[in-house]
Amino acid sequence: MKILATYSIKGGVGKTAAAVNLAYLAACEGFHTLLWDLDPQGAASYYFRIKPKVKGGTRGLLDRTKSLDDVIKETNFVGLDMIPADFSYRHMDLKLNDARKPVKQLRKLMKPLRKEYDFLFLDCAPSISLVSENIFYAADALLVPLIPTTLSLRTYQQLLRYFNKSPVDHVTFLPFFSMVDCRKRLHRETMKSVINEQEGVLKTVIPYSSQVELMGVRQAPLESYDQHSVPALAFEKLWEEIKTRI
Amino acid sequence: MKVLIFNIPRSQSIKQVKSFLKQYLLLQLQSSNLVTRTYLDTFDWRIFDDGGVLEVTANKTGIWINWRSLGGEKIYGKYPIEQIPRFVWNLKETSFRSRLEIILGVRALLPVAIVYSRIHSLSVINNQGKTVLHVEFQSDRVPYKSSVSKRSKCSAEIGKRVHLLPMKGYEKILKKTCELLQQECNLSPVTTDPFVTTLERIGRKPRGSFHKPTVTDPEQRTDIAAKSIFYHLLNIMEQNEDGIRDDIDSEFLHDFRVALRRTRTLLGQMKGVFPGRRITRFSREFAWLGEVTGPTRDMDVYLLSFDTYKQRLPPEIRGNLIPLYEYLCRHRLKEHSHLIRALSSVHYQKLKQDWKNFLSATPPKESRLTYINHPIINVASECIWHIYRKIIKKGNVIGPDSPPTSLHQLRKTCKKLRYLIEFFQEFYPENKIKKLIKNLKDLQDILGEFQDLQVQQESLRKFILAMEQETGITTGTRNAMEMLIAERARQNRRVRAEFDDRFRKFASPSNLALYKKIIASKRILHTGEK
Repeated sequence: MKILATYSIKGGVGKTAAAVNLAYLAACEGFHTLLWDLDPQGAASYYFRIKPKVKGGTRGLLDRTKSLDDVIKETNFVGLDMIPADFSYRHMDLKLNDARKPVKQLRKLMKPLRKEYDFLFLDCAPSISLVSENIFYAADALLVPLIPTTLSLRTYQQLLRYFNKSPVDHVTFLPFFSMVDCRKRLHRETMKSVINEQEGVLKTVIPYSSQVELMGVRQAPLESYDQHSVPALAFEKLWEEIKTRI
Repeated sequence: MKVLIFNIPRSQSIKQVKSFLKQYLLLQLQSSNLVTRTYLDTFDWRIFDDGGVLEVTANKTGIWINWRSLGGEKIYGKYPIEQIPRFVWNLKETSFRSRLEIILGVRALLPVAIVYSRIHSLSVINNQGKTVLHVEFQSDRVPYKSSVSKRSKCSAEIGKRVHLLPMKGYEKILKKTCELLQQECNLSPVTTDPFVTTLERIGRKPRGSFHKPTVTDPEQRTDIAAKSIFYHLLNIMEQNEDGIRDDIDSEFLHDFRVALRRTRTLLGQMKGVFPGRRITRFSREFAWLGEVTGPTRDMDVYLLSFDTYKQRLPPEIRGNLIPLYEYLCRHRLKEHSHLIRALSSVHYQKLKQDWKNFLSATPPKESRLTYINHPIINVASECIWHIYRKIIKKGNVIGPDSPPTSLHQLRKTCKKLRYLIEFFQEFYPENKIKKLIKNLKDLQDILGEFQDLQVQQESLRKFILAMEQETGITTGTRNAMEMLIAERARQNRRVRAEFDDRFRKFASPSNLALYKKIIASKRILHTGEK
């Protein structure tokens, strides 16, 4: 099982849209896929019409009174399952801090699922915390959406600096541009300079599009109802590119 | 995850049950399709034996493969495919495939039954608009050949059913729907899987005679017992012939050759039971059959191990082995056509007929043959003990400088012992015989590995020469093959070093005591020519 986390310190960069659509694409190809909505806002759960509620909450999972398998919900799409969000995830940091080996707790929780699933997507909350460190230990790759703006790139630099000092060295970094508006000169020039300066940035660009925002109305992955739209095609291309890098 | 199936009796229609459910549940029609369901399994029913059902459903929207447990208690996986797979490696590399691969191995998937099904799919929706349960109304028809006209297409209805396909995490609604169907609609849950019902309707039995031949009555006359084993083995060979001819998968030939080797082994032990001239003649003929089937099997083995070969080389030069793969494929085709010719030859047909005549001949009431009237248990124990002693003698003289052929000879003798023990294992205490087989298997494993590595080195050298003559060989390919030879030689040395330990374990006093206790005590108290 490959664990892919959509992660960014900054919020509103398109993590959830990427996680939902990429997980859906993986399932369509026959890979048994699981998506864990780790964001207490529960946007990914909402997109799949699943109640953002986990029996036993964070405590149940970390105390091992519930396993992850107990709280999995099947989505409306074949081969795609989900662990919904729960409002108690907002306290996950505190709960993790109480545990022994606090940075490896989530990895331990995910271990029994390794044989069952081909891909596990983690839709992370925007922050850099103990939960994030757990994700870094567990994930095989970090999908980092970047809006080509100064603040978004600044948080990416923060993340890189953090990793330079961190003992975690197994994670593949897969940054990609998201919510790009090519009409804006700032977006175009920022992308150009980042591509020249940074290594490993994925070539596929996810455009800013109202069709992606409509996912909230349709409550389904964009790929499932508008697969020929520009952003849907971009997500397909992104998935193809990711597969070559993991 | 349990799939619950309920029969709809003739007195009720699908429409009635559907409208009844609509009163209690929020139902949404998903699709109404005519589906062709093809049940797949291997020739030796590996999926069925493992308690599973593999079905491919095709409708106008696409093809789906679904693997579930027999009885539908668990769904192991379901995903879209482009065409019905022939081998497990035709599927995408997923966890579904790796789990299925453990069961199928290299066997091909064959259609075992086809059903035409009218399926009405409905979803039960919750307050969030989320599907929480799938309900399928199915009415199946099985095609059959008409006895009146060969051309007309006929199909028989095999019933109407409601399938509840629960969704993980939404178990409450399943319970409620089950109660509704059972208590309010008076539907009864299906006790036999629809796959089994289909097989019954088309008159197919899920199992053939694929078990290893054994004798159960220790007091049976030796010649009669031996003939029953020979019959069983001949049956296996004949069952596999069509698969070899149609080249369905490599296991047909493998099973054919195993049955042949078993036949030869037992025949070789039947001196004093059957007339010497008959034994000599059939032994010679079966040796011929072994020879003509050997080259194709060798090519099969190389092709099946090709991926392992590639893994042994650094990734950047793996591509250089492609000409070797092409060479093997070409020659396999050639050898296979020779094999087909041999199997269709008068020689083989006559051999089979003569063998059948010999096996069906009435056993003589009196004979001058030494062991013919003995109970099989005594003769079998004599043979097993004799071969065991032979292995000990052969193994004891093998030293660090012994040639590889001496290990090969030992391996062949071990195989004979294994076959004999398996034929007659019912005569001895089960736990003890398992121990004997385990000790023998440990030795056989190391001998097998050694021989395979040895042969591979020699064959690869031959292939280099042959490829040079046939099509020419690039330096890259030659280097890759030579690297492979060197790697095989290294492995060979490692395996050779392990042999002494394994043999010492086999020849240990405790193992000898076990043979003495359970085998030697039952042999004929006669030390004649055996």
